This record gives sequence, C-alpha cells and structure tokens, in this order.
Amino acid sequence: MVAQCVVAQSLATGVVLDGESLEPVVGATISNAQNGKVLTVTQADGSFSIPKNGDIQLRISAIGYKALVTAPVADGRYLLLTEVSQLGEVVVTAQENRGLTTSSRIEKHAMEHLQPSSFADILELLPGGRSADPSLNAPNNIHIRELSTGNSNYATSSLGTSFVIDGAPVSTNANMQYLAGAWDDVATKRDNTNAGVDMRTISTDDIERVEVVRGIPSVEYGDLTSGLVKIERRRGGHDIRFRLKADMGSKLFYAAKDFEWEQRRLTLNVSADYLDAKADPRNSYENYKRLTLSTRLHKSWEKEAYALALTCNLDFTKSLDNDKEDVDQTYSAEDSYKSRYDRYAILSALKLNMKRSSWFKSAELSFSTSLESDLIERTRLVQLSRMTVAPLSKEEGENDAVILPFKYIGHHKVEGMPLNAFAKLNARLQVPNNTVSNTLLVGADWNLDKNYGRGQVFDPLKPVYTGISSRQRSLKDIPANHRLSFYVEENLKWPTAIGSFELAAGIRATTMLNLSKDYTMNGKFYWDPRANIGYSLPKFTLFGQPTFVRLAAGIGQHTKMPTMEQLFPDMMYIDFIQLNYYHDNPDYRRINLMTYVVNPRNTALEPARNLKKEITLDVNVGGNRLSVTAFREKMTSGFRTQSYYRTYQYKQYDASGINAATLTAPPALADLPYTVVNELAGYGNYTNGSMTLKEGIEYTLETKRFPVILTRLTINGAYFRTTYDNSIVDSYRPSQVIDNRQIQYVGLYANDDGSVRQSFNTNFTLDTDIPRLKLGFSVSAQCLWFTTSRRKEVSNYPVQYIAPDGSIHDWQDSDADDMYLRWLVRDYSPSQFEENRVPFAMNVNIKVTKKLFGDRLHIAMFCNKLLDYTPDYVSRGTTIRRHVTPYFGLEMNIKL
Amino acid sequence: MKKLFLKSIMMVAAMAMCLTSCKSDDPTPVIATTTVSLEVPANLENPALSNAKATLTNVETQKVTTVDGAAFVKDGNGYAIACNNLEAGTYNVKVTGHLDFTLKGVAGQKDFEVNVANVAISENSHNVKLTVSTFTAQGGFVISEIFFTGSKTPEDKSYSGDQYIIITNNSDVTLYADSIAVLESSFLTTDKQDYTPDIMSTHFSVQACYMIPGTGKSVPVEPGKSLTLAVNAINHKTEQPNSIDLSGADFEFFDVTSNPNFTDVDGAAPNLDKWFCYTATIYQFHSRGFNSMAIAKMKTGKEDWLTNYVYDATYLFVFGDFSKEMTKKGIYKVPNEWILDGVNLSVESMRQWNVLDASIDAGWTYCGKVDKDETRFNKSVIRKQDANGKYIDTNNSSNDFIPEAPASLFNK
Repeated sequence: MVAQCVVAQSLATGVVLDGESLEPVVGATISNAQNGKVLTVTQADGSFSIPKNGDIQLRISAIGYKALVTAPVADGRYLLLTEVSQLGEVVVTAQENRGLTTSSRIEKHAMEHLQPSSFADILELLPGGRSADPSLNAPNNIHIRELSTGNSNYATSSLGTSFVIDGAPVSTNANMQYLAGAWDDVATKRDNTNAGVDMRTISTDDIERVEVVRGIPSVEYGDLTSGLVKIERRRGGHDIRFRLKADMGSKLFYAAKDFEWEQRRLTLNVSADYLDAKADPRNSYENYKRLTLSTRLHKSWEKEAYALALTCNLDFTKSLDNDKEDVDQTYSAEDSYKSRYDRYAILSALKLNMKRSSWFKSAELSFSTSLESDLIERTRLVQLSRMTVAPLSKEEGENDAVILPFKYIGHHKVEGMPLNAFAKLNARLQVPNNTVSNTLLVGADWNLDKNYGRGQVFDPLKPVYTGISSRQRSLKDIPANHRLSFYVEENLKWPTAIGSFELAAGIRATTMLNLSKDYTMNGKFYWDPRANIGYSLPKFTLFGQPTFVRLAAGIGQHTKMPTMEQLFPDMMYIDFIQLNYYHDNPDYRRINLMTYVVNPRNTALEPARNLKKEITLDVNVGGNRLSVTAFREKMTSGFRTQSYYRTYQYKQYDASGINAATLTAPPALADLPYTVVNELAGYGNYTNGSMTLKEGIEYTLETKRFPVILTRLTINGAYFRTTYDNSIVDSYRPSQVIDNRQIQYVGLYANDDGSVRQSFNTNFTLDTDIPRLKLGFSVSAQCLWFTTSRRKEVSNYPVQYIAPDGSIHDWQDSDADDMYLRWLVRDYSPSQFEENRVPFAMNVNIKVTKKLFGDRLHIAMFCNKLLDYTPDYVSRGTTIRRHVTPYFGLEMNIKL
Repeated sequence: MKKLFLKSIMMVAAMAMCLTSCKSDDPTPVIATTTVSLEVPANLENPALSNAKATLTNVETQKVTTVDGAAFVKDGNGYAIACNNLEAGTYNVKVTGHLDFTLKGVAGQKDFEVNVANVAISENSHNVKLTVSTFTAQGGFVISEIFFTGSKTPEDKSYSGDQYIIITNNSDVTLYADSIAVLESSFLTTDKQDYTPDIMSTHFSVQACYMIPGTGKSVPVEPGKSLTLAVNAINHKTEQPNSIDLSGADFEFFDVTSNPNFTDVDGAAPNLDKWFCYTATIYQFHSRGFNSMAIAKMKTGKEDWLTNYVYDATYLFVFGDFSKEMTKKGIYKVPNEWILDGVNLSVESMRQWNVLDASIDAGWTYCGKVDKDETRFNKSVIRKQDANGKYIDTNNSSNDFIPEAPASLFNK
C-alpha cells in the first residue's frame, strides 16, 4: 500500500470521454505516439494513469473512435470523437445499446415524438413492438420478448420484469389487491396481483432516458426473470415546462419546474402530472385517473480525491380506477367499483467516486422505501333469487349458516398497505493493470415486503360475492418477506491488435429470510451466474466506409422469488350443505353446513428461474448500424395455480318428513334422518408448473440521416416464438348432473394447457428532421407478416381418475362408455390443435412535431393506423374480415 | 289369458241360456243371442275396459236385462258382449264402463256412458252397435304456457326465481302426467351450427331433463286441468313483492347440491326427478328464451336412457378470425316419437334456426324482439285457445302461441 502511494505521486492521470455523450470510454488504449508502445488502457470510468514523462505525446484510440494524438495535461479530459459523427442528431426511435447485453435505449426525443400517456406506450419502440391503442381501463403489464395469451398461469414473465426508477426498484411482491370471490368482469379484469408492475402508473413526462434490458442484466439486479426496465429521470435545468395532451381516450396535463444552482452543484426538479382516461369517450362512468407528484434533489460535492453525490427523491403516485353503472341504463345507482392506488416513495442514494487511481473506484449506498395505501371498493345491490347462505364459521365442523336476506346492498373492500424497503450497498474495485481494463463489482442488497392492510373487509352478512370461500384475514398477520442477496461481477475489456475482448461475468446469490422451516426455500440460496462476452473486430473499410463488427454472446440464470400471496394464500373454507330447509316463515328456515378448513399453502414452492442465452451480431458501416440478436429463454418453474381434489364427508339430512305446518322453530337436526355422503372438492394452490420458452430473433437497422432529404430509416422488428406448457397434472371435474347429483369423478390429465405462438414483424420508420423549419415528422409502416397460434395437442382422455371415495384409478378404454366416466372424456377436436394463422397486416402511423417561438412551443400530433392494409383471408372455408380504426392524438409542450 | 278366460265363461253361459230358452214356451220369440258391441275411439292405444255394464231395457215391457262387464270380450278395436234369450222387441241400450288406455304412450282413463234408443231386436237383427262418442281422446298434454323471462324487482334488477312452465291436459280424458319430462334443448335457436350427425328429424337434443316422478299412474290430470312446474315453488312475494306466489305449484325444479354457492330453495311442492342437467349450478330457463322446450313421455328407464341415449356431435365454429372444428360431447337425445309437445323459443333479432323438428314445431315464439329486451319481463308465451277453451295445437307455435302475453299467474 505504501509503495503504491509513493508510486502514485509520479503518475499522470486523465479521463477519456465520448466527445458527444461525455460518457467514459472504457478500454481505450493509451500509447506512446512516438514509438507506438502501449502504456495502459482506460478503466470503467474512462480514467487512466501513466508514469509522468515530460515530452511524451499520447495516442488515445478505441474501436469506433477517431484516434487522438495529444500531449498529456494534468488531470486531463480527453474527448474522443466517434468515427461517424452523430453530433446533434435527434433520434426518435429506440436504439440498440452499445453495451454487452441486448437492451433498447429510448431517449427523451423519442418519447416526445411518440407522445405517450403512460409507460406502456413506449414499448412500441422495442423490437417486436407495434403501436396499440392505449387501454387504460385495466392494468397494463409488460411482456418482453413474449407473445402473451393473457393467461394468469403464465404471468411470471411480467411479474419477473423489474422496473428500477432512478435506482429504486418498484416492488409488487406484497400486492394483495384482489376481491376474494369476485366473478364479475369489472373486478377480475383489474386484478393485477402476481402480475408485476402496472405500467399505467408510471408517468413518462419526467423520463430522460429508459433502458429496457431484454437480454442478461448485470447481477446487480435481481428478483427478476425476464427483463429489466431502468428509468432515469430528468435532473437539473432551468425551465418551467407544461405539457397538454389529448387523444381519443385520454387527457393529460403536466407541469414541471427545474432548478439548478451550478455553483452549489445542486439541482431540484419538481413536477406534477395528471391523466384522465376513459375506456369509451361516450361513457363517463368508466374511467382511470392518475396523479403523480415528484420532487428530486441532487447534490454533489467535488473534492480533489473524490466526488460525492447525494440523490433524494420523493414521489407520490395516485391512481384511480372507477367503474360505475350508468344510472340511466340500470336502476341500481349503488353499483360501483373503485380501485385506488396511492404510493409514496422515497429514495436516498449516496454515490462516492474516487478520483485517485487506486484499487477502490467507487461505492454506492442507496435506500429506497415505498408505502402504498391501496383500496378497492365494490358496492353492489344484491338481489338474490334463491335462499343463499353466508358461511361464517372459521372452525372446522358442523355449523348453521346465516341465511342472507333476498335484498341488500353489499360492500366489499380490500385494504392493502404494502410497505417495501430496499437497501443496497456496492463497491467497484479495480486491479491496476495496463493491458486490461477491469472492474470488480461487489455488493449486497436486502429487500423487505410487508403488508399492513386489513385485507378483505366486508360484512359477511352482506357479501357482494355470495358463496365466498375465504374469510377475512388481516394482511398484517402475514409474515414479512425478506430477501437478501450478494453479488460479485467482473467486467473486463482487453483491447488488442486483433480486436477488443469484453467480458462481464458475475454471480448473484439470493435467499428468502423469515420463512418457516417447512418451506423448501428456507435457508436455501439460489445462485444466478450470468456472463456476457463480446469481441469487436478492429476497424476495417467496407464500401469506402469505416466498418465495425462486434459479436457478443451471453448466458445467465435469473431468479424471481414468489410473492406474498403465492407464499401465504388465504385459507380455504370448504362448506357442504347438510340441510337446506325452506319455510315461508323466514324464522323457520335452516341451512346447516359442514365446514372444512384447508390451508392451500404450498411449502414446496420455489422461485421461478429463467435461463437466458443469446448471441448478437452488431455491424456498423459508416454509421449505418445493424444489430441482430438470437435468443432463447427457458423458464420451467413459472408460477401457476393448480387444483387439488380430496374426498370430504358430510351428512345429508332428509327433510321430507318435516311437517311445515306444525313447526314452531327451525327443524331440529336430532330428529332428522340422514345419510353420510362422500363428496369431492377441490382447492387451488401455487406450484412451479408453468413453462415459458421464448425464442426469437430481434433485429434493428438504423441508417444515417441521408443528407438532402434529411431522413433516417429505421427498420426493426422481431420474430418471436413463445411456447407455454404445464408440467403438472391437471384435474377437472365435469359439472354435469346425472341422476340428481353432480358427477362424482375427477379426471387427471397430463401436460395440459400448452400453446405455441409465433409472430414476425417489421416496422419501417422514416423520420425526417428539418432543423431549418424546426419540423420533424415520421412515417412508420408497421408490418405484421404473420401471427400464428396453436394449442398444444392434449389427449381428451384422462390418465387417471379420482373416484368418489377418493381412490385413484387408471383410465381404461372401456371407461369411455360408462354412464358417469364418459364425461371425463373432454371434447377437444383435432382441429383445435391446428395452427391458426393470421396473414399479413400493415398499419401506417404518422407523427409530426413542430417547434415554434424559439423552441418555446412544441406542437405534436400523431395518427396511428391512418392507413392500413389488412386484407380479408380465408380460414377453414370462412372469410375473415378485419377492421382497423385510426387513433388520433395531439399535444402541446410549452417551455418557459 | 284373460280373453281366453272370458271366452270360456261366455261359452258356458251361452250354453246354459240356450238350454233354458229351449224349455221356454213364450209366444214372443226369444232371441238366443243378441250381441252388444261397443266401439271405442280408434286412437286409444291398449284400451282396457273395466266396470262395464250393458243394460237393455225393453221399451214395451220395461223389462231390464243387465249384463255384467266381465262378459265383454275384445273385438277388434272394440268390445262385444253376448246377451242371451232376449225377447224380441224394441230396446233402449245403455253401456257404462271405464276405459284405461294410453295415448302416445301416456296413460289415460275415462268413465263413459253410451246410449242407443229404440233398437229393434229380432230374429233378423240381433246386433246392437254402440260407439263411445262421449269423448274423442284427441289431443293430450300440451305446453300451455312458459314463463321464462322472470320479473323485475322494485329496484329494477331482474329476478328469475319465479319462472314456471304449465302443462295442460288438452284432451277430454284423464291423463297421467308422471314420467313426463320437461326437456330443454341442447342447441340454441340463436346459434345455428351444422351439427354432425344431424339427428333432428328423429331426435331432440337436450341439455336438461327433469321428469315428473311416479309409478306411471300417480299423477292424474283431469281433462282441461293443468300442472304448474315451478323453478322455485315458493311464495316469491315474501321476498320479491313484484313477483308471484308459486307455493301452490304442483312440482318444482329442485337442484340438490352440497355446494353453498348454489343453494336452491326447496319449496313445499314435490321435486322433479333430475335425470340430467348440463350444470351443477342452479337450473333455470334461459331468461331471454334462446332454448327450445319440450315435454316428452320417457319410454325407457333412467339408467337405460342415461347410458344409451347420448351422442357426440361435431361442428365448425366460426368467430371473428377464428374458425375451428369443435366437438360437442355428451348430448342427450330423446326420440321425437316420445315428444308430446314442443315449442321453439327465440328472439327475432338473434334467431337463426329452429332446434325442434318441424313435425313437433314448425314455428317459434318469443318474449322480446331484441336481445336483452327490457320489456320482456313478466311476459310469457301462452298457447291460444279455441272457442271451446281447447288449446290450439297445430304443431306450429307461430300460429298456436300468443307471444309476449302477460304471464297468467300474475293476474291471480
């Protein structure tokens, strides 16, 4: 150590930055211009140090940059210009990142041009994306590299996509906002539990830059399987900004004030955003509203030896889903659905960057916490047509049920108060080396999810959803989820004469704490090794243009821990009617139940794990860049609910002997004859049975802006193939009634519920930027060459069946003729497993932006699907006609 | 065996009478054998005569000769009885009795009295012919009303617990309603598919079959009388003031279940025997009338029907950009010959086809002209009556029914 310090005094240091973005250039070679001797390479922060030598001329070179020959200056900043300058270029599309892993980078300009209402709209820019009308009356989930079916048994992919805003992950692990027992569309379509982040709640207005990591992210990021969305918001500036947007379904208003005190290295950004969206502009009863308030403070201290930066963000998001019946159409003015989501989030991060050349480069400590106050309120005038019970017993055994009145107003609330806390500490270390740029990242994070809400709150005597099989349970009683992770990652860049080699390899270990011993996950570490390697060829010339080629490949394991609801689902109460006695006099009615309590907790549940592999070719010819990635992601342990059947016993009382006329009280059970009956009943629990296999090719071609026509062409798209499969035996009980009883057999079917979907699309985007007119416009022809879907072929015949007594039997061919067992044969026909193919369709979208009054006013409009080519096609002898409706929007940005 | 026994009795009696008449020395000629024959309506199946009595009254002498019915013998579609040693003369002849029979398989019965006056009985004319014309035994059970729309609560919510179907004995004989089943079509009149095999010309495909229980002669229904089969046989007014009292219904569609999510009300009326139903939830009629309904005499046992009267159909399902060959497994079927009456129900704006063979119903009827018609509540389809109060049954419900008629039980 001492020796190193002594040596350090005779060193000249500097930092090499990209001349346009001012980002560090990693792995640039510093050589002696006179003799060509390589002195060192720049490190992850672009820094280098060489022995002091008075008269030396440095030659700084890096692939993709023009070499710079200069004399060293003390603590110099050396700016490298890219081989193909894109200075001042306005990019309105997503760009493939230059990093090792595949990711899409979307800058502010692109968002201004796109005119989004919520984060969901931005995904159009990813390879494979296509513009879609905003649907803001239900949660929007992300599906990276996936052709989702919307089946909740395959939601792990969206659950396993992590959103990180300014370094703070958005946790949805303690989301328990579901209406237990709900069957109506108004409630079920808005249920977002175990499905990840609702992108509607993320406002885009403060966003400076988004990086969507489709490939293998750094081990710094965990609790994800499928992707990472890193959002960086605006920092500093001096503007007052307003944005007004209106489209066919929504209105948005945004106001922000930016403060920056350069001398004090202090910035403050304050903003507010309000969105009001209607599912149908003619119906004001179903709407979605969002309010976001954000305050972001950044302070940095520059010292000789180090720089320290402190970030403090305070955010509030409120979102409201409303769905009320139109009083003019139905009489029941009381019927309504409301879902409120209030999220308060605080982030504090401290970043230390060492300026001196030493093994310790930087450290980061961050702590973020969020508290939500979520409330679903469902009110419904319930009018029963039958005598219906309110099962109340929380104990196993016989009990009398309360008979509900035939008319009442039911209220059902779900109160959730998820608390998330996340702390992260990491450091970047570097072994001084003059040939290889290297960084070692070591770190740890800890995450806590707890819900302090009261959960399902309703008067059991006035339930909105009758026959509910769960009882009230305070969410406070559920133990907190604690997750602890450690990670280490090495980043290397080795520039050589035959090209430059890069490696990012690391491992992340994660464990769940606070789990009881009977859980398989208790005390177990899950290891996520991830590695990306890259090789860049030295510059060569093709068609007279400087050309760069890079090959990259990666492999990585990703782990998503189960959510609170998956680990601690509500107890199931299975009730059987033993006596159902109706009398004209309500006082003499009686319904007697036998209640069984089942804990559907699956202690064998394990995390969902996704293994990603990908290979990328990146070719840049004179600034025209083509990037092609082939990927394969296999997740065999996705979460799903599975039904289990068991035999239960109850008494079936025979009430036929009761003389209604002589009763003076409800009939006494003691006098009634009964028979003991076996009945099969099922309950669901969570398993790791869902497989999601994602395969495909993503491609992006970005040209330079052609001079005279000032137009740039972007061709991007993807071929996706998504395979879903279920590795767990599925069970099914027919609902038919034969001879006064529901069929008392349950069929067990192997490998059920799978499908394969494919799509191939290409978006051709021509964007023209005429700086003289301050006019930008783009035409995007979005071609969907085909989509296919095919159900996985399954047998109509069960492999086994459960008999009424609970015994399991193998299926025999002759059972198909049995009066009861024949119903276990399902009715899939072979054509249901045929591929369904939808041929070519194309939409043309147009977007225009114009700046006025010295850039103070910025007007933009978009028209999606203005033109379309969606020819009719024939499917199995039927002509299918397709219709496309254009979607318009307009916005105004004012900067003061 | 019975006939043989009757014949031998008659032979012995005839011989005995012959012997006595030979001894007689009356101036008025005595006719050895007078045959009184009784013709019963031709459409009676398996008629069985009982408690029959033939009374011959001599107009001049007022002498009454009675022959007990035990001596009636079956003769073609009628009966004959021999009456021996009658004095020649003019007679008033009366035959009374009781007939048991079946009509389209439905057990029926009728007491009758037929008279013929001033019949001359002589050596040359000693056959008396009587025809049972006091009843025709035409018609049978018909569906006289289906109330499937339900009612509206004071809060304007729909209430469907008060649905009912009325079946009426439209004949002039007493008929037994037990083992008659109420059937609901498996196919919708609003969703035409080319089902293969197409069995409609021979069978009715059903998704619900509820049968009136009994031994076969447990539930007599007098001519013109009805049975009300209620989805819930309770007084609905206690809970739903805009509804009706169905506590007096004759039978109830009760769904036994142990699942508290689907509790059904078990009113006082006896329950129908639920042979088959497509759902384990609560059964009720389609409240917009998309299913056709029929009544049938079940001519086989429950187990036989459940095991052998079931088939699978395939069809091509087309919806939007989706077309698939589908299989509909486990469709129960009832032979068209078993069906006593059937009614196609539909809604004009939605209707695509009839799901009953045209021999059962060539037309269709409705409550509501558009889907989810808010005006349909409290309305029934009711069969028209002729001047004599008989229900009109031309096997065409477009003619035979009054659509959107105020449900009859609301007026009571």
